[in-house]
Amino acid sequence: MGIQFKQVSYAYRGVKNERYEAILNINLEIKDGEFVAIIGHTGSGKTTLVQHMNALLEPTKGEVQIFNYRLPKKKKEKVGPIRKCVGLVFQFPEYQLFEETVLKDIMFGPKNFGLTNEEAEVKAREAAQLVGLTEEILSKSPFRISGGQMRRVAIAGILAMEPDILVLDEPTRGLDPQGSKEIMALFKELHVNHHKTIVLISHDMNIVSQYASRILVMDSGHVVFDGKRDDLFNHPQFDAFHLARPHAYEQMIHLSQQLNIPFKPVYTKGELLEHLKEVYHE
Amino acid sequence: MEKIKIENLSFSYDKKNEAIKNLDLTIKSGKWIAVVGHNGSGKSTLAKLLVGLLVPDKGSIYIDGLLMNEENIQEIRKRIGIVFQNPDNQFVGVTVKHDIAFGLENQQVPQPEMVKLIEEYSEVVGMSAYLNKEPHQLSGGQKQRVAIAGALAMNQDIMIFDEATSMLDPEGTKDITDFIIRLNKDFNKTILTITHDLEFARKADEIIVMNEGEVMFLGTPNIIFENSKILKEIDLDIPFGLQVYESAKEDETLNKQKELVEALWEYSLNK
Repeated sequence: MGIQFKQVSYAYRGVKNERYEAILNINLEIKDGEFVAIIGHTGSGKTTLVQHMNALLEPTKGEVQIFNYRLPKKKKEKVGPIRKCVGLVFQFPEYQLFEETVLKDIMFGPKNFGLTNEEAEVKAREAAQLVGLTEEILSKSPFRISGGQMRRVAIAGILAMEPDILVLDEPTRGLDPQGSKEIMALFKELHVNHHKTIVLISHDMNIVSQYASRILVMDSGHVVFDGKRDDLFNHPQFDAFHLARPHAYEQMIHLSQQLNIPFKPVYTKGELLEHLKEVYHE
Repeated sequence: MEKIKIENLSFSYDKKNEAIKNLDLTIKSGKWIAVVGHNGSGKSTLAKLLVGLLVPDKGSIYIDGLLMNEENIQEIRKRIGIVFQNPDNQFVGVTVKHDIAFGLENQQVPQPEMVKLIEEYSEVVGMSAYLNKEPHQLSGGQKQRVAIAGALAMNQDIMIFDEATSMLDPEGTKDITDFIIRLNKDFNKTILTITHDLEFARKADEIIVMNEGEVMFLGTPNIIFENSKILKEIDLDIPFGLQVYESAKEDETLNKQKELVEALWEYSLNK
């Protein structure tokens, strides 16, 4: 089922009522179990696109289908069920923490969906364990823990609602390299072991190329590429996308030109070194 | 000349764990210093202390020889400016134009000059076509460019960029990086960039490595990268090209390939 966009456009309205099209005529299907990355430079429409995925925005043209729900919704229809299926983790989600304790903060979502205190606590504890928060942290104030931990708390708050699809808007932004690796390892685990569909917005091509099996490139409100990493970084119009290539891939291009080493698409340091060893082994 | 002088500075958020511990530091005029360290190492706390957003528990900060205290703070803020990581927390205007104007209005800059400055700096950050847009019409990265334009228009001698490029895409990062270099080299501003990104940090004159509230290492980028163990110890990634070079040196097969090792070394100097 997943999510389907049918000719979706969204226009913001400014002060003088002028329209500003953020996304235009998007056709897109995200299937259950996919790990999709959305990339594109700032202002290309990535955030606007994903905000449709849990009904934060409704299309001004076209239709979005999320499981059995349709947007724009009917007048009295509630969006709660959509938000339960699709969890959206915003940029800097830790700014939305507000409760007295970490545990209460994580419980807020499930309680909002009508669970009792006891039920919500069970879900919250499960989610906390999933993101690697220790028992000791649960009773602390969410404002007295480190930035990396705050982000985990915010993500646990979404996971406690048990969404099938997790939409992540730049989840590694502002984290140090170690924090980024840990958080990406968490999403990979949620994808592989807990079968969550993941939609990831990121500027980091190293992360995107290592984790996503499908990459969408947005530019001026359009999807200009939809496919696999090898085809993206090798695309004849790649320069027109204004994107960087992953470090390893970039260095591979350089080495193949300078030393005449056969080119192979590589995405990590390990893959690059492995390839070099093969080349020089002969 | 000493632009910034920090003596025996300590600060704690909770009166238990010190975020900054007995820190001493001198920064000379016209230098670009990159402050690196993992989350929670005290980098951002240091930045907030430097602009007087936090009050130290102990020690003193001098900006241009002026002691940071209630009496001098207004004067100090004319000399030191900061751009933060999250632009949503610093967008105050109803439109881009008003947001850039905010600081200038506070400094009572005359109207005609203000208009000129807004045009000039919105151009610099590539936002001149957006002057009448409202914040909700802008992406995170665009808001960050506006915040940077606003700070630059104030024309302060010292600029702190606290992960200021982290909201930007690679092209935006390059634009702002080039601009920071220009500010430093052509306009002789003293620059502090706070970053996790060592590829960015290596462009600075000196790098300060912070760990648990203390300066763990201070030196030129080359000296620090030669001692890359220090950076690994605190979980910071050395630039990719250098990682590849080091791994190749440790590999028996690859290390024998003189031409390859040389090419990897050359590449590591730039990437």
